[in-house]
Amino acid sequence: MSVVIDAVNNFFGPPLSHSQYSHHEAPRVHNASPPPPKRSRTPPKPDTPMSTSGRRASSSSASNTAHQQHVLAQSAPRASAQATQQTAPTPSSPPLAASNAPNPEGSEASVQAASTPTTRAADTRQARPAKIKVRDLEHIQSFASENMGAFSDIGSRSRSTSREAAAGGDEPPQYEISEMKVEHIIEMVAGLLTKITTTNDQQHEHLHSQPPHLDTASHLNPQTSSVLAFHGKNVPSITILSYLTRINKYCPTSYEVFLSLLVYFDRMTERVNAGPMQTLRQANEAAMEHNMSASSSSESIASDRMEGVTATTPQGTQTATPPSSGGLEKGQQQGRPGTPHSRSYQPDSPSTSSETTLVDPYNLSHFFVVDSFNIHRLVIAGVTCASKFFSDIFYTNSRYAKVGGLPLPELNHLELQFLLLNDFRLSVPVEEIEAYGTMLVEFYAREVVAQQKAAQAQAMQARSLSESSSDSTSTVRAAA
Amino acid sequence: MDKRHPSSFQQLEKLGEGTYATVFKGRNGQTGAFVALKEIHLDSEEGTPSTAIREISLMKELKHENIVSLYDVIHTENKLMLVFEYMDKDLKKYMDSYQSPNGGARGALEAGTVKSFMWQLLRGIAFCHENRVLHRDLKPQNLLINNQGQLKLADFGLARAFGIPVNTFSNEVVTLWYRAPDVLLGSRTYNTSIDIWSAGCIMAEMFTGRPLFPGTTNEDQLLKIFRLMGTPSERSWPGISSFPEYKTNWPVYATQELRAILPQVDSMGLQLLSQMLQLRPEMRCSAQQALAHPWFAEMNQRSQQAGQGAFTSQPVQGMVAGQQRAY
Repeated sequence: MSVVIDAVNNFFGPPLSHSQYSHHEAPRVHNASPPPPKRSRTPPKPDTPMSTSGRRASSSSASNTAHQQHVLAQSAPRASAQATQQTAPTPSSPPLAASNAPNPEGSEASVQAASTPTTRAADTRQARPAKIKVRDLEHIQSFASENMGAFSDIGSRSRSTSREAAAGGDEPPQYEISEMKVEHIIEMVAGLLTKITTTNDQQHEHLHSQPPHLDTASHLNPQTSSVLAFHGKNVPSITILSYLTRINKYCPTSYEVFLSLLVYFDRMTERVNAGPMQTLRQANEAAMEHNMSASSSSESIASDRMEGVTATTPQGTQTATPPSSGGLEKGQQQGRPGTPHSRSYQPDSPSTSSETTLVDPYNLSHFFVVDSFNIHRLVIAGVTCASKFFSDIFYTNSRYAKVGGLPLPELNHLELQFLLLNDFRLSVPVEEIEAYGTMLVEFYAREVVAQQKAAQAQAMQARSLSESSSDSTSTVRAAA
Repeated sequence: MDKRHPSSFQQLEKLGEGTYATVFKGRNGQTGAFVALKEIHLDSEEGTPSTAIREISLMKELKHENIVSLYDVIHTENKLMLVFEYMDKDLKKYMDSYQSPNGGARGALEAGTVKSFMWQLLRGIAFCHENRVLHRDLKPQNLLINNQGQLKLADFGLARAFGIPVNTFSNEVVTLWYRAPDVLLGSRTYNTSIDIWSAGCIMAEMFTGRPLFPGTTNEDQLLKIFRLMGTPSERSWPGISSFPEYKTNWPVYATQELRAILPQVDSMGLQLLSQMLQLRPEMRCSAQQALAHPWFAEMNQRSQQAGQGAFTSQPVQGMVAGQQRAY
């Protein structure tokens, strides 16, 4: 938590060229003090010299649709997030940004997702599980290492299955984080977001070899352009942890603002991806029907494209595979139960039905995935919206823009897009916020355990190296 | 798609101007139905006003027959337009224009009207509180009335969700005259009881036609309250001395009889009123308890006969749907 970068005004490369919005020509003010906060608190002033490094996108990214081409790669965090979900006892605890990716293979994660409703139904009938008040990160570290089994991947999975069988013999505890320092909560949120974006970025790279379909920009629906507004050409140079820490330093707020970001990202993902999912399914159904009557050429074109995606995914066919015709519907159904809200989202019928005919259903650019190219903009827009909603203490947008390192007009635009993508619904039921808190603690605990195991393995390797340096084969075995 | 465009509403006369919005009467071009159009300017420094974010987010979740319906949100790059159910007037204007045929003070409403409005007000409040929302700005101007005698809560710009322990409550909430004593004393940990205090003030005002505690400053407001309710002490209100605005030199007033200043209210009504106007927040009744008070016996009976739970506060599905269609 030592990294506080004051030296940022523009973490981002130029904003999207294709969006109608083009305020990046606007002059940027450097080193000017921001206005005072709207209400009582007086956080330090951000001094913001420029820092525009940042990794270029690995593709040449002639157009931003090229990036969006690869957004389907969102299922990798599923495994960890899904496991978390199993243990969260309240009605809706979603995997972060992972619920709607088509998953035709019926992977283990999907199966788990499909089984959650029963688990939940059982939960509601039982007495509430134990509530553990988390004091700080050290507290989590201590109970994670005391109970490593419960937080290893295997452990959490078997725990959830045994729970289903025993119908709640020993409920996994809920973790109450309201008494933790905001800094500690930020560290966990940053850890989770970093893991998700890193995973999704890797999928991007696998998919980058697929040639971009430039035909998409002509018929972008409004939702897609809202999504694209967050997508930068470059990956900002500042880490997610530093960025969140910076925001909390200059725009201090309550922890629920940071926790709610996870809720909103999930909701946005679900809302945005519900539309393309349906389009895709309809197209597949049509293709199948077509297939029945005559051997079709459209199907083979479609599957060619599919292979274009999967072939470039060396290790990840089970996670990032776009649907093949048969498995799609199953994937959709399995995706549903794992989604965050009780409210079932019906995609706006006028837009989807009209788009269906226009849009290439196999073009994956309509999917929304949280990755390194959009996470910073999502975070600053989300904090701006959530602070105004949750807290009686909040700041002007010009301050959020300065702290977030982007021009005020761009932040204003992103704020509105963020609200639109959330359908202006920022309310989060207490149970949902609590479930996300529990999920976050469990994520952190698993990370602790994973690190400890890695360290142990390393130590073991080192020991066996020194003990039996003569026998190299046994060393390898011991380390494995 | 047409309905989402601002031009699909014909803009009629201005109904009011708030701090962050202008409200117009509007007519739906297709159905001809009236609506209220709340135009919110998107300031470049502030971005989207927090009042708008709260009002939209909360009202999208709060569907109840005693809460004004938000039909739609239409946005352009520099303004938001909220499309609300049309109501004929607010309670303030209604009272100002009312002269009882039986004489009495201008603005004072008939006992039956007060009871009906109070019942509807409390049902709206109860629904908010059940959904963990504090309104925080209840006053006659924010209660809308239509020609069918319905009363609905409006203006959720100061409202907020509660439930998770946080320390960011502002005490600059609620218009002074309707602000609860604990908030006036500087409390930031207030809860649903602040809306109940406001409801009590509104009830008295409907009976008399005049605000119950028309204070001019925070201090003056407190003293006006104490003059009627008696000056609290550590003995009558344990812990009062630890409030930020606590003063040792308050004049010591004795508690007055409510009956003396509200002779027009029946004893049952006075009993209910005194349960809402308790100085100590934890002593105030809840909205549910108020609705269960015998003063509302006939209302509850009638609503039970009509097949609605008296205070289950379930949104009446048919009605909401009907309104949606009308618009």
